[in-house]
Amino acid sequence: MSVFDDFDEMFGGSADPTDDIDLHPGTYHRRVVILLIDVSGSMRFAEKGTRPIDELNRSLRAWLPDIRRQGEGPLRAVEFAVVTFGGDGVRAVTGDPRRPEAELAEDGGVFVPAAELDLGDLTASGTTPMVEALEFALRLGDRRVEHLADRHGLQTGQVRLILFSDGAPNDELPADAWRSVADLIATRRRQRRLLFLAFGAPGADEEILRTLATDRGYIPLTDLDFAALLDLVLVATSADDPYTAVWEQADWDAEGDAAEDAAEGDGAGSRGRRP
Amino acid sequence: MRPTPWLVSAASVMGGRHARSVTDCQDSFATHQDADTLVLACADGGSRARLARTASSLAVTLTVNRAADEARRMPPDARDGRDQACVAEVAEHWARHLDRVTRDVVRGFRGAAAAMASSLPDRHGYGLAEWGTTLTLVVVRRPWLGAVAIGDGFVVTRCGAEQFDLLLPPDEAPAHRPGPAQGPGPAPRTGRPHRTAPGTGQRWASRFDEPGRTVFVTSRGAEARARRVVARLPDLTGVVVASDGLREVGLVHERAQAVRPFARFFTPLFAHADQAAEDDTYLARLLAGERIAARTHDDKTLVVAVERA
Repeated sequence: MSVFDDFDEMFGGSADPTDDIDLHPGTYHRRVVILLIDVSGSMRFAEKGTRPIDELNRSLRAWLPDIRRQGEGPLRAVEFAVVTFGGDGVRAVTGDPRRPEAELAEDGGVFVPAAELDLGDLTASGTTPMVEALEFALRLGDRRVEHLADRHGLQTGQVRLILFSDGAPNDELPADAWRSVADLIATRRRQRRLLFLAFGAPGADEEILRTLATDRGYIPLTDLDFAALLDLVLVATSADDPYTAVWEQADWDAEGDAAEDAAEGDGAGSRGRRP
Repeated sequence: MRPTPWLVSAASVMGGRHARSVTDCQDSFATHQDADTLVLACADGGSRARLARTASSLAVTLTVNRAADEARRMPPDARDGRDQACVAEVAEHWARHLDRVTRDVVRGFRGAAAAMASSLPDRHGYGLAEWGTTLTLVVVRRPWLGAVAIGDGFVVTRCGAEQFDLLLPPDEAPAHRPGPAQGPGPAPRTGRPHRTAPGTGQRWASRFDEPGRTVFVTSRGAEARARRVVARLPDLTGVVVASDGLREVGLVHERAQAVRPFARFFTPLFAHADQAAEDDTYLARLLAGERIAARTHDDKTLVVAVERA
């Protein structure tokens, strides 16, 4: 028998006899992920000829099919709710957001399995009701975990709240209203009920986002590469330790950019840098 | 030389998570058998432990050696398998022997890890926290079987042709303290294993507990949190010891708790094992296959023992 016969045996097209071993189709746990996306007016201002909101939509259209595909495999236990905040207020844009708020976290509400995640194009306008958005997301996450435990007996682990913003909160609230939501986040984090990551694009209020997310959870972005951002969101969704994994990915991206920039003789910045 | 009574196959395969981080498989297994005794052990190194691979390998090696030594002192079967009192007495002896193995392994492991940490120049890189590993052990001396788990490995038995039981589930909670050994008579039913009520000192899982967080050999109170079961299984024909990377594909869950083996996984698995040649690689092919890789990125270990025909 030649070495090529061995390869045929190993990689040949005939069915593996272990194919008759069925794998149980269910999952025993659920991971709850809430994406909070800033769609305030600044996302409409064109930079270098393109509007950020258009770039975001383009990147989402490319990203979502991969999420849905992974939702049949490694992300099968993940469910998403996507919430935008901007001129139209705070809105869930997944599942059925027309329900009363108390029902949004129930089955058939705004949480959808990763395999079914889909979004229409997002539009940008108006102010940045970030405080209201965070409070809404915290309530949503709490209720979803409670519903999954009470109705389905599922273990969820900590809710993963992932925020993207290029601005500062300017809700119609006192200027320091964000501090009370920072306390709510800190309490949940201390109780190991919440993992919170905030991605701040150029223009974001770094002090506020860093206070909300802590140094560990705040990732400053130096450009609006939404494809790279969504890669980081996927890492934050899928990794056991999202903080470490996101920073490792962000640093790796930054090193790659720096290497490319050096090769091209361009000193432009890179995606993310640890503080 | 007389063939040993059990045909044992085993495989550990790296999961996608470790492939991405260019980290080796952190699971290990070890086995031992002689004319009277079968010992199977499997360990899963903690993903955040820098020495996870070393830890899991040390754990199974220590365990198999210690268990094999202790097995020689385990009592023979009750003189009359129908005498509940005799059976209970034998079961109690088995429990004490297994507890001794657990205690010695935990202490020996911690001692070895501490010695390593203190003898190497960079003490901070080799501390006890870097030695996290689970451990699952099965000892068979027919008709008795004892199993111990520190962490989230699990044990499935086959009695007769196709009766499967989740003898030791992967979950620490709700409380599953060892009950009395099963008496003689019919093989244990397939279904929920016996669980005691809460309040026995075991911790209930919180809904916010991350799936995958578990007890390690190095954890505080590891001995007290070890789960142990002793059973008299006269018609035992197969045993599987597995790491938690396979719980989702091989076990049926109800309300986030594993309650029974998934028959369509274990029936063909044992059938393969019954027919396998000594050098068969079917387990490695199964665990490395795309179907399982698509479902779980964990490292995966299966140790399968079937009675020789």
